[in-house]
Amino acid sequence: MEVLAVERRTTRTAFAVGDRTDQRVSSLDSQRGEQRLVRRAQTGSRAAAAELFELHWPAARRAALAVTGRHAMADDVTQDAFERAFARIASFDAGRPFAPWLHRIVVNRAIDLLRQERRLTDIDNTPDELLAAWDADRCDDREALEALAHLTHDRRAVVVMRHLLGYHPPEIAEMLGVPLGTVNSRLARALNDLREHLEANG
Amino acid sequence: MTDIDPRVQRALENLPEGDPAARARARQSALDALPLTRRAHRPRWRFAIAASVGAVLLAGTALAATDRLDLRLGKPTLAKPTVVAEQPFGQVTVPNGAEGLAVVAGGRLWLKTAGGLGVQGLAVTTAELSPNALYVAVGIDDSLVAMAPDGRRAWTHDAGGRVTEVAWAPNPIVVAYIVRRGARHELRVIEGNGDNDRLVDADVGDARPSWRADTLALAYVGADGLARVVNYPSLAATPVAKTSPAAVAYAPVGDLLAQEGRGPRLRIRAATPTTGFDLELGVRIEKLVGLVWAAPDTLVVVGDEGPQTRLWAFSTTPVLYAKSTGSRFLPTIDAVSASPTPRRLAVGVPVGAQRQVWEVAVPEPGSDQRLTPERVLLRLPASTGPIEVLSIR
Repeated sequence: MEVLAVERRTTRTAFAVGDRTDQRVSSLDSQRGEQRLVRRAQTGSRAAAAELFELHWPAARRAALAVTGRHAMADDVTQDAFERAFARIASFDAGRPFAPWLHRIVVNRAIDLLRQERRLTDIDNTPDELLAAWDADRCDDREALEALAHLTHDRRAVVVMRHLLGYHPPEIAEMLGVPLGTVNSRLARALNDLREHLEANG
Repeated sequence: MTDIDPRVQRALENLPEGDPAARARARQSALDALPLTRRAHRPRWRFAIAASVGAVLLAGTALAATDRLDLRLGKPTLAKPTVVAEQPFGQVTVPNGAEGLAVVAGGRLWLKTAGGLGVQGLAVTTAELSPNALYVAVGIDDSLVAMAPDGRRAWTHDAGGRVTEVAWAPNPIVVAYIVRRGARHELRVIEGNGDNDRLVDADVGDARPSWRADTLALAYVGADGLARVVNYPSLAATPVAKTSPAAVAYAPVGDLLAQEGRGPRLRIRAATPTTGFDLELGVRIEKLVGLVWAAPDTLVVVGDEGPQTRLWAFSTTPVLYAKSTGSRFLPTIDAVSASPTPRRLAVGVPVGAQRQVWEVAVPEPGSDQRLTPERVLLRLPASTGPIEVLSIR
């Protein structure tokens, strides 16, 4: 069991390093372009801000949908995140990437709303509701979505941040404001849940 | 890499796109949230103009220091969303479906009712319209005064101190009011004809009390910060959850009592003696502006969240998640009151060099809509002071 845990950690790290290197090489130019957009948006350019919006809306909105499992809530969360980000754009360090700032707001807001709703209603979305919102019937790998739908929203959030948005556990911990150990634990348990579900239904 | 990682990644990347209309709305709203910023690069000839303007402003500043010129500098306030006919300062418009509107700004009252009562600039401490806006109860000097539809004083009660809050019961047989006695505030009730003034609590918080829909109970905030409820007319205390609210508000139907909790995070409790729920929103509000019911099943909380006022509306039947509905057109809100028309509010806002009262539409909880300003109900010059009280019936 101990050996297995180390092995998993190693493979995850290898994946992460390779992923990050590729991303760095391929996105260097786009990062510079994004920095220019942020600087122009900071001087009040609506056109630059609109470009930022178009650039980041798809991933942010997809992340919100993946976490919340509801289109209306995903739209609300993503819109709210952009509003907050743009309202404070003047204080943003243009030398840093824009996406983590936005994604931090998106994911935290989504988790907050789900927690509030759970506190009010004491129920989570059912997997069927999530699969309907995700249009799972059109997905080539419905089983993977079914497995994701059975995760708790906390675990699903870290999976989304890791596998959809591409952040590393230390970055996820910082963005969610939780200890690194918590992120690693949620990721490990989520992957375990996913594996068990896929094996049981595969 | 495990065999699961790429499957999960592919599945997540293939999640469906959202509604293009929602995206377009979000884009517009996000762009409108951009701060108003001066352009970074200006043609040189503009510097000459800027220098001239600067010289004029410096001269103006000097004049302002001698109180001969009212000069205001700073970031411009966002404009209102639609062009509407400018109405004269002080002219009150009663919204459709309402019987009257009373506004206290800078210690003065502006009022208009369908019954013909009109007031412009009367010095008062607070005000509230009676149900159906037949009368208005106002604090004048150390008295509580009820003004009749013909503008005359229906009755005057010597309160012995400054009246800071008035709450006319849904059944207009009784009025609750708070009067300042030295460092303390006293809660009292008086019958609608000005008779039978009675003490409820000799030491309370300075927050507006709230009547239950059937007028058989009155909720208020005690001096110790705890919510309290007394029965009417017995004035006997009745048990209530021990919370520390900044405001209390009974629903317009039934006996659901909403309380806004003190503390850095927005906390709401809405409960009857037997049912209810607690809600803690993951947002920090710096100041509560108002707690009102926009409909029998929709509670609205208005609070300052940093530089912007935001509004959270949520349904109680069924309980839905709260949705922030801040308006880019009304970045800050001074005061709020529920309209008799469901899902309509009156809000007092600073707009440029004016104080304005707007009628706004509150979206259905969970909908994609935001707070929508609809029309201006009153304009006042900014020098009047902030809007302190709104009462709409």
